[in-house]
Amino acid sequence: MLIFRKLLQDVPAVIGLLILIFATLIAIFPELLVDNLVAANRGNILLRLQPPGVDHWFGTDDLGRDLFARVVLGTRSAIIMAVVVVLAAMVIGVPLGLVAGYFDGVVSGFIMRVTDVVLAVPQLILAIAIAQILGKGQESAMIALAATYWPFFTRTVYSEARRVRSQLFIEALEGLGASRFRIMAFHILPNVAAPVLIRATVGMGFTILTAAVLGFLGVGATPPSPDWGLAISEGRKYLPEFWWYATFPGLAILLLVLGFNLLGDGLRDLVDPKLRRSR
Amino acid sequence: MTAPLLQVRNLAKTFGGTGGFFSRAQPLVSAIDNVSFDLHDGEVLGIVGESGCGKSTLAKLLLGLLRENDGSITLDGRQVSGLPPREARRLRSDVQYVHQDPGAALDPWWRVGNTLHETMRIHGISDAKERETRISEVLEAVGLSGDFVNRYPHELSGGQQRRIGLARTLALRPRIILLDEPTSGLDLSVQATVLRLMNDLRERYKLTYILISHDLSVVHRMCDRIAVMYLGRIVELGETEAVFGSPAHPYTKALIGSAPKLVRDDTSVELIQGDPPDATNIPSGCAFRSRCPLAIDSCAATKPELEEISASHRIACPPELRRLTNGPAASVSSL
Repeated sequence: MLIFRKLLQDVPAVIGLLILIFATLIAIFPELLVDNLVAANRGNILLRLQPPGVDHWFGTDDLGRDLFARVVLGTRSAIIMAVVVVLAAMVIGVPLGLVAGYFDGVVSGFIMRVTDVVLAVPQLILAIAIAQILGKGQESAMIALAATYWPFFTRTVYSEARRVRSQLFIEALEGLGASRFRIMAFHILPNVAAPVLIRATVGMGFTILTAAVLGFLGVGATPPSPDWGLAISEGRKYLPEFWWYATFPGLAILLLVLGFNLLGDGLRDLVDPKLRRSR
Repeated sequence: MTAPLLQVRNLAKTFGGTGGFFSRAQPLVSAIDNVSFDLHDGEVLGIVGESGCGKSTLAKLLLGLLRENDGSITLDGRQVSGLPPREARRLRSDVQYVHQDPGAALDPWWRVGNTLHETMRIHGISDAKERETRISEVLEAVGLSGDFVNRYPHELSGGQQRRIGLARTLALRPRIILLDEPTSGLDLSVQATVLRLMNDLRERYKLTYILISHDLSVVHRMCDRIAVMYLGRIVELGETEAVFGSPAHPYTKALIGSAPKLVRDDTSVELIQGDPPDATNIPSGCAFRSRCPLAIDSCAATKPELEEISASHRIACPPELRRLTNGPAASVSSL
């Protein structure tokens, strides 16, 4: 695997990859780091707002729950959130982009104008509105984020599909009488896969950030979920004396988003150093 | 003489004219205008002309990838024109195409073998064993070993790409193959082997070729008959020896005269002046008159039609000018 070896020479990308491997591991097996998972959700009011120390590495929160355990547990919901949202956005956005990119005319124009309209509204604001309508909870946050993130994929796939479509081998397939579905699914899609995967990687980091904002604003996860954004929002009230309450979930977000971004940038440089500017 | 395999009558194709929902109207371009010719079984017809003269559009019309605005195409006695592209293409599976750059006509993500399989599957050959047999047969026919099926397109040389392109087309068992610039971008030595291979394949599979090229030496060597195109019209059509030996249309004369030769002889060359006119603004009457050294006033009045000047040699230039063009033709035998 030449590509893999080349990626391993890219130090920031490897750091990003290691962060993600680590995060995925503790999302699946949180018991690797936390002995007593139950303690994460069982408070002890006598131990509220303890500073970081030997017993509680990250301190405790206002209900006396161990912050380290809660940050570790929050990894799972953050990663599930990122993966589900990005996959759902891909399922909606990629086929639309393929159709719009391969065909000309009214259908293509309609898809792209709708995409443009959704892109014109800041994603966060639209997501807050949708999540608010759907009611509290992590599911509505996921739906809101997926419903606002798909246009990014449609745009990417559209422009890439346009580029691929103008290549001779597509014309050759049309000349042979290949069906449109065959051309789109077996020929255009693999050729646009690389930029889509890059956008997906960076998009997961971005989604974690946006999901944390939704949690912070109270339209995402609800207590007692160990959601990072929620924890920051609750810890905010105790700043600055009890700084650890908001800081450690914040650092967890920073680290995970950094991981996705570093890997995404590395992948992008690998595929096309000219392909700059993506989120 | 038997009936022609392919009969093209008054074919016309224009582009543009109307705008889309979100786009402004494009100017009307007449890409192919009143083109007629016959193609006989087993012959090689060359189509030559400058870039932009409509060679590729003509190829697409013949393949059925574009729908003609006017005129008719008859393949083996059956009318195959007047249909939307998809149906037209299906009816014309006897006509196949080899791309100018066959390497770029292969999906870079697919192995050559998979591409060959797919090509046949698109044509409804669902039996995998049958496809395997055909693949090994056509690979052998184009002189490649069987393990080329595992190669990716970027692992092939220019000559190998041509051979794969030919194999891909041959696997479909066509009767007519359109060869688009079959030698462009190849070394001279590779050109020679590719041309010889094409001749061998033609005999082996009883093929009829339409060879599109601007390389006159290739056309001279390969073709039985030649059609010279200028701005979407055939201006001269005749047997190779007649066209090269005594070119009658001033454009053909200039084209042959300006071909590079190995012998240094710059004295008698009359180069064509200026660029071809804009396709959106073709001169009235004879399209070539703006660059023709012989043009007279009457050239602007009517579009000249192809007229016979000798058996199997026709030109689109009025008789009053023909006298002037009967001078000794530039010879290409030294090419």
